[in-house]
Amino acid sequence: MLWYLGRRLLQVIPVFLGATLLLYAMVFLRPGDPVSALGGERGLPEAVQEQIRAEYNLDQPFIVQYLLFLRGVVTLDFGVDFRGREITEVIASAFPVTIQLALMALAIEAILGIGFGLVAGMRKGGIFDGTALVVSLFFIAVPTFVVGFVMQIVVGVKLGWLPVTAGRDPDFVSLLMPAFVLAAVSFAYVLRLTRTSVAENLSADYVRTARARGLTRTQVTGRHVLRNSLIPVVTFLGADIGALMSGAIITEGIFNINGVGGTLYDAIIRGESVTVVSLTTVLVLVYIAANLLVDLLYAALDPRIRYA
Amino acid sequence: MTTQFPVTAGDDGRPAVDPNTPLLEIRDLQISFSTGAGDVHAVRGADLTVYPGQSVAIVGESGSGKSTTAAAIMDLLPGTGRVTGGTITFGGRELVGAPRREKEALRGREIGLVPQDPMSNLNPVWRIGTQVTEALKANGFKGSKADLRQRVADVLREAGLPDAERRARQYPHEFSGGMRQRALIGIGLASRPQLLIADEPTSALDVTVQRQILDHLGDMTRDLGTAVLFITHDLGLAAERAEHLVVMFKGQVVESGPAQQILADPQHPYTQRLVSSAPSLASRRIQTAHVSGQESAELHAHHAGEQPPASNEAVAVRNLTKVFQIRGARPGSSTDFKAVDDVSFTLGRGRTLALVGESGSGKSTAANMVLGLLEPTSGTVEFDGTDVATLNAKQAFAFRRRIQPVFQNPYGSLDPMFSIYRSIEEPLKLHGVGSKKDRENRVRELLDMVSLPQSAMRRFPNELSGGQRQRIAIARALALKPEVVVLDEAVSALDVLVQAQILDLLDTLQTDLGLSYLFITHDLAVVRQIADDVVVMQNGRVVEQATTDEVFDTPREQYTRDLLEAIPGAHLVG
Repeated sequence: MLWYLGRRLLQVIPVFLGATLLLYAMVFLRPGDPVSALGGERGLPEAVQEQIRAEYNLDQPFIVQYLLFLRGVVTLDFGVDFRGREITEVIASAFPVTIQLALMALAIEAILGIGFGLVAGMRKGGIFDGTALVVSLFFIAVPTFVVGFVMQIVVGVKLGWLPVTAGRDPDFVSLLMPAFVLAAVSFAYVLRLTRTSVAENLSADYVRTARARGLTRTQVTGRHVLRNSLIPVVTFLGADIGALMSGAIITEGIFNINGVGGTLYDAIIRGESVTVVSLTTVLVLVYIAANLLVDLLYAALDPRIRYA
Repeated sequence: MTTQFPVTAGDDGRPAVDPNTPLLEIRDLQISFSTGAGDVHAVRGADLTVYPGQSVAIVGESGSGKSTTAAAIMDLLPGTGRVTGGTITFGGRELVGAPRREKEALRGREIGLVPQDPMSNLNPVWRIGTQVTEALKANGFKGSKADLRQRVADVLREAGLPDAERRARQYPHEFSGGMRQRALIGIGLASRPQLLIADEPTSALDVTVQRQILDHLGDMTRDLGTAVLFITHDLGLAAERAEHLVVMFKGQVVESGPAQQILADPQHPYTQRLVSSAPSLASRRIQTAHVSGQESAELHAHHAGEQPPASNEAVAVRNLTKVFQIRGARPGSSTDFKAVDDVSFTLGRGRTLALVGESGSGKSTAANMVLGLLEPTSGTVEFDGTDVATLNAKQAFAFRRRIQPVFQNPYGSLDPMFSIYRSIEEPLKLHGVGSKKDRENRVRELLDMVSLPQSAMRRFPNELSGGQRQRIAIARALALKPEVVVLDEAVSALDVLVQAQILDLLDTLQTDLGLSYLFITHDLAVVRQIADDVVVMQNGRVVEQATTDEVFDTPREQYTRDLLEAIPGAHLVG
């Protein structure tokens, strides 16, 4: 087990290097000069531009810039962005709200998706199952921003149940609607995955044998159907943590949340390579951590999986 | 009753057992499954009586309704199945139409089940002990945690698992097939039911294990006074283990009576066929002009042109060894596992060599090396006098034409998306044989050879029965006119009557085409019907090698004798 963990953690290093190099190259190759764009319509004097380039090492060759970035990572000093803010501070202010949003969405899709999926799978072919399939298809087919705007109008404006936008320093209640919107597509997938998995497990031999042992329907469902059905669902949910965080960009835009999405968008527009790469690198690390977590959870759910 | 298996969970107000009142009585039972195309009547008027402590076996082939009948007793019919008529009376109570709670209360407590496949009937994610515990709790076990743990260990110990406390903490995947089946037997009998339904309890196990398990099951149920209802396709096994036989055919009971009487004097034509083709009861090699088969093999080889064969050996295997590396817990700590260890044998032209052994004996690994699907670690496979390992890519491709496989599972070895025509044509196409017209003619010819109508060409595997599919697999193997066919458990998945037909077919084909067979099987009863020579393997090594008659009449090794002993019903024919 420890061997396995150690090996997995060592794998982070090449993934980190590869991902950052790739990201850095992409931002570097982006057309246009960020510094000359800083002055807007009138432009900055050539000497000022030169000075800024030197300050941010933008006059250095690509590989030197990248190595300087790596030094920043190791010393945890990424430098400042064009507006003079510490990049570590930018990260620290952007991530908490996005993490909260992603976790809320994850909880919503897990609870609702597994709950409805279980009922649909148990009554495969029934009315509930049919409805659940149609509704989930709807969520998969309709783009996130449509769901977002419709919910804003109906739930926020017409019914007035929840705040329309979240704004700066949002609380739990004002994040509820964005979390629902963010969770919508994944909820549909979780529901379908659970349904199929449950329906399949219901006809498994060990379920029949458990019934033959005298277990009641509830006991059989809870102990033998649900746990076995969750194995593929957990894999999906884990991989989805990362997708939710990067997918939050659209949702954050709709609900005016100052999270990773908005910050990243601004940084890309301004061509601040260090900010873009730093934020994205954190996202990559979240992905890696989430995947490791899934693999460990997998072993907890299924004793046949033993990592060595 | 002896005191070996104490009755601890039984005396909670059950009706007193009267040996002359039927425990289970089924009258005119009708069961249907609704499908898109209307109702399918799986059981049509079955009658069955089991007295307390009696052992009864329902015998029939797949699709006869035997398992469906058993499932109906416990209300465990799969899918859309339902009882449409008749009565099931257990201990004086009517079960058809009884409330769900009443039937749940009956399961486990009064009727236990030992299911067919030990690999799939234990939930892989719960410890064995947990699965025993829930059976005890569901059936009214009352006592402290320590009592419960003690009882769980007792249940497993009774079922013949040594070191039961430790075993209870293990997961199913840490158990062998036989151990799992013991655990399932323990669970089935844990609450001391009056009736135990054993649905093909050992058909997935090796013969020697099968025998031990059945012996143990017999001892336990006898000591506890439990009535047993066996469900089996194996007439020999049924006759050996049950006092009373019920023969089912196409959803109906065609014959029932004392086991010995049915065996000695079957009345119904179906039972007569079943008795005459039960492999465990049959005695000698199928002899359809077998000698001429060998002559025609020589002729065939001549006609095939090229040069006359250098020897009478089609395949010669010398000192074949295969070592697999098993990855250890730490990097670099792998261990070697010798799956095949210094195995030598020769397959004579036009003859059948049976490679016999239990699972893990290395017989299939050896077969895969003969087929060239697996690289030997050391040793050689010579085909027609040439070492297969020395062939270059082009020669190896040509070599594959001359040796073809037929595998065990006809459901898995045919691509469900391919029509029968496409399945049989594929090897011809791959090897660029003839024009499209030629290939179609060849497919027709092959279907004739395996006695299937030519109209089968347009159909798909899911429309065919297991026996028909295996015929297709044989036709496909013969498409390229091979000299050697490797049959890896090719008849193990088939019902006895179908099995007998396929064995006959194989024998006829051997005679007509001069084929040599390498027959891989765990079933010695089948060996006697088809093989000329036998190689017995155990743990990767050859333990005995002789002609079939020698092996059966004068086995030299203890292991071979054990295998022969373990054939169900062997002693019934004396």
